[in-house]
Amino acid sequence: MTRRAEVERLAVPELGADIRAYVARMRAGQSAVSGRLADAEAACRRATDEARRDLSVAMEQLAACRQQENADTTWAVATVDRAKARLAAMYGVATDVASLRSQYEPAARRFESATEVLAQQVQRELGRAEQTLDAYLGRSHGGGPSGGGPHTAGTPPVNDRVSQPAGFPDGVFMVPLSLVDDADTRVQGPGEFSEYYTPAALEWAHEAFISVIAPGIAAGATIDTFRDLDQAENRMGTRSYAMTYQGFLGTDAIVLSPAGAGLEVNNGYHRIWVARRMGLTSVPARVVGHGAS
Amino acid sequence: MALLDTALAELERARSLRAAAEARAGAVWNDVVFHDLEKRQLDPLEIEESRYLSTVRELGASLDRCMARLRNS
Repeated sequence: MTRRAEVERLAVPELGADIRAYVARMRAGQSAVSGRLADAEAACRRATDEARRDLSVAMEQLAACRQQENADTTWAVATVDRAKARLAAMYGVATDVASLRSQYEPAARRFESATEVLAQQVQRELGRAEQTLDAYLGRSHGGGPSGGGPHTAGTPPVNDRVSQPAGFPDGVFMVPLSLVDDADTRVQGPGEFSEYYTPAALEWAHEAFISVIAPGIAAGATIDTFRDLDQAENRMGTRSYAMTYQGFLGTDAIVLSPAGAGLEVNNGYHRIWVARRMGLTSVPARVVGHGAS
Repeated sequence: MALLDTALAELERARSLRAAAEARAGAVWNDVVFHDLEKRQLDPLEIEESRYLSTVRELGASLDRCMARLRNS
């Protein structure tokens, strides 16, 4: 794999997450514009209805006044004239607001089309990146019963979209993030991370797992292999392969357990948060408590 | 507060997000983002975005004038 291809493979998921966030925020903004425009139209309707009622009352008062012999209708006529003028003004505003909507809508549709193209394109690119990754790792994700590898105890945790690639320890699987329910997470942003396990350090770890650890163990590498590799590349701490191996496949693995139709998080909220931000679609995790069901 | 202030602030935040993503992605941005827009006869995203935001700003100013007329009539 060329260096450019590696960079693109890593950049596309991150860009995908960024663009999804951009599209979502733009749509929220567009929705807010439509909402305010609808508010303005509703205000016009209310004002027009009120002006119409005022005119009706004024005309009734004028009619009553005219039925009285020798009555002075000057005030009543002036009231009707004012009510007519106000109603005409309200109609004018309502017409202008309707015109503004007709000018706005084509521009909004055009921009919606642009964001829709983005959303579709990103979806395709992410799918392509995942296929490339699968091909690179020599396995397939989530393609029905034949998609997953062997599962421990012959019981797939939750469903067949969970796979166990070659070399993974017993009980550790590649789990689609779509199955993971981390709604109870306290991790809402980079501020929730320690100085040691920063988002950047965990991103490095996810990338190292995908590009080095997973293909390595599929080929028979052990933790000693990664220790040697760290020594050769002078790596240590959070940006070392051995620590990444332990962090994802060893005692510090992400731990999930079945809950309803998905999986709840027992350990690994920070790594899951980072994985979602990177646009990854699955994470390695130890799944506990799935054999009983 | 003008009628579309909150919506415009949301759209401006999205624009900043897009600019930051574009800067981070570098060359990959062009590969991923531009291709299909051209096929759909749309301009580059930055131009479409700028055109839309300009339309929203004009709409906001016009709506504010309409609402003032509504209040003052």
